[in-house]
Amino acid sequence: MKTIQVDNLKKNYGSFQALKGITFEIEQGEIFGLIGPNGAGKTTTLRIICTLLRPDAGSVRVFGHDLLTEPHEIRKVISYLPEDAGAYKELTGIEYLRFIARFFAKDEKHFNQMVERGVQIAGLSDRLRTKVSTYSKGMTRRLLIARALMVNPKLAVLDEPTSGLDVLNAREVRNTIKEFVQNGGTVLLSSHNMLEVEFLCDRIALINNGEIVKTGTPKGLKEEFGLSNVEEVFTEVIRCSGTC
Amino acid sequence: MFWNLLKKELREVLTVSSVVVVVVVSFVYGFIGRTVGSVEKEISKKPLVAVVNLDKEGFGKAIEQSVGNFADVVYMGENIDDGLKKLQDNGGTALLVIDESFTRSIQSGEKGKIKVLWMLRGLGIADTISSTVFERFCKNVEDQVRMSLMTEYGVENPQLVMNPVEKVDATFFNKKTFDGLSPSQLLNLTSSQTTMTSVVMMMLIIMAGTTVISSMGLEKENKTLETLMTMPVKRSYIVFSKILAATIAGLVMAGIYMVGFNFYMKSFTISSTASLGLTLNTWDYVLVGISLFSALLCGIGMSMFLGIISKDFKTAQTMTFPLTALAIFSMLVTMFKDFSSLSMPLKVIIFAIPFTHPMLSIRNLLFGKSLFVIYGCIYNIVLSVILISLITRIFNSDRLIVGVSLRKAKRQVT
Ligand SMILES: Nc1ncnc2c1ncn2[C@@H]1O[C@H](COP(=O)(O)OP(=O)(O)OP(=O)(O)O)[C@@H](O)[C@H]1O
Ligand SMILES: [Mg+2]
Repeated sequence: MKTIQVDNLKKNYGSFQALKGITFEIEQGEIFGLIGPNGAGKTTTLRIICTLLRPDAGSVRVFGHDLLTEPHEIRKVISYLPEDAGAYKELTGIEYLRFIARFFAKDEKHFNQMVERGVQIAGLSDRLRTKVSTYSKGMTRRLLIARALMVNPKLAVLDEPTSGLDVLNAREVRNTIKEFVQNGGTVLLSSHNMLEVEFLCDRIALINNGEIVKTGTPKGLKEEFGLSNVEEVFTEVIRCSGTC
Repeated sequence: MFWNLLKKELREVLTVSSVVVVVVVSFVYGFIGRTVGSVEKEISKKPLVAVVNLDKEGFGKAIEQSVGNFADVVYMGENIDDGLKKLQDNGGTALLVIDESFTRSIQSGEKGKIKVLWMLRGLGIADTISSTVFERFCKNVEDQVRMSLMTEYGVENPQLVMNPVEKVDATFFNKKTFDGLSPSQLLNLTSSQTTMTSVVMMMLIIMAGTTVISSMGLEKENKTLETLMTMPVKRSYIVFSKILAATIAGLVMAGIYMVGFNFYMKSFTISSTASLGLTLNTWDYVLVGISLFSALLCGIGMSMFLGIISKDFKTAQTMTFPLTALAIFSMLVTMFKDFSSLSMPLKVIIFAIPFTHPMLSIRNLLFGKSLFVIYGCIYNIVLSVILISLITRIFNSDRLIVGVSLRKAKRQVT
């Protein structure tokens, strides 16, 4: 079953064309990576899928729900992690998790399960009881990832999930994401870290200047270009999309 | 090196929005300046008076003859009602009633009585200016009597010569006569309450407003709003909860202020206005409450707009200035002038600013003008509904995320 169908998506900021017709599909249980240089349009695409921005043209379907007609249905099944986001500074970590869980929990038991999962994923132990304003960047990121995944969304949309995390923390987060998918979730993420992309993603789309220039599995792409890692593929594709 | 740093700092401090804010603020103060300026002009004018002379003898006549030098006399005769009517038609300051036994009293060594009925046009500070002019006029009249007294009788009763006239004040305001009170006494009695509402309202708007604006700025900077908007909650709930929380906080603060002020004022205010028949009943207090609540809603609605325009926490802080300026402007104007004594364009402006309604409410209710307060409440409620529905609409569009940038508009033009 297709989780997400994005068809010929266009978005302008004033007279600037940020997306010039993006098309891709994601299968259920997949980790799909959107890879591209700065300003390519990754965040814009993710924001449209998460009902934050209205597309100027094209269509998006998430689990069969149309973006324009049923945004509220989409919001029920997704969870979005913005790039460099923060949490409410006046709350403690645990209070923040509880605040979010309230929106999704069906009953008290479900609520407690969610919060417990969140505590586990965040891995902040005692620091969860201190205010978010005292957290380091990486700690805040962990908290937000926990928040995004604890509610068990059908689709998690993660904008640069491991940015700002040290090697160990990033590894742990990657494992959490893998685990999430093994339990039946689907992930759409954007990233700059090619190692991560190769390790995590089942399929990737290379995006440049608001257009998708290549889609495929990391392995397939490497073979197609005869290169040894995704970073080289990325460099080659981006270089080519400008000149060839 | 230093120049490089200075340039960067300047670009940060002198943004388009901060310049716009300063322009708006200076415009507002210029406006206040002009209002006060017209007050000063009033001071140098001669007062408009009506004189009812019931005394047919010497001193009364003397006043009658000389009064034209110190004032513009719109009525001179023997009928109080006629004089009052003439005075009202011409927008005069006071009616002077010379007692029928005026000359006889002075001749027999007692003070002569002059009753002064003041026309008070409004309860603002500046509304009494014309009566200050009139006080000077009264001195002139008294001097006149003293002069006649001395030339005719010499100084055989120095006590009387020093003080030949007994002035009895009464104030006519809003179809009611307050005996034994000069306008400034009446103002003192009422102003403590009205000043309280003005100051409380101003502080509330500024505090609740800045809280909302900076919270919006912070939410944008932290992207917490973005997160919230992808969750299964109605966006109107997000708007309502923000507005309602700020309003409740504002009302709690208002309550605390009111209690504090009341303790402070109680001893000398409440009892004295009550003795004049100027009291507020429960219904009046409900009206004041509604007025306050609706104005607060409008203020918070406006703040939400300013918050939406701001990109982050820093711009949010600059955005509080227009709101602060508007609140202070409302307070000053309503303290200086009563609504009824304003010029037409000012009336429109003052009515249009939602904050002025609670500021004027107690004063209006004390003098039985509840209709004006009700209209104000209706206006405020309509305005806040419009504001809130506009904000909800913005929340449902992608303006909040993309931002409302001036640059974008410019780009479209070229
Ligand atoms: N609110 C906005 N107003 C105007 N232009 C915008 C706005 N947001 C994004 N853009 C432009 O749209 C383009 C795509 O931006 P986007 O944020 O989607 O890039 P990105 O791929 O996420 O980049 P990065 O890897 O740096 O996060 C950029 O050129 C950016 O300048
Ligand atoms: Mg991005």
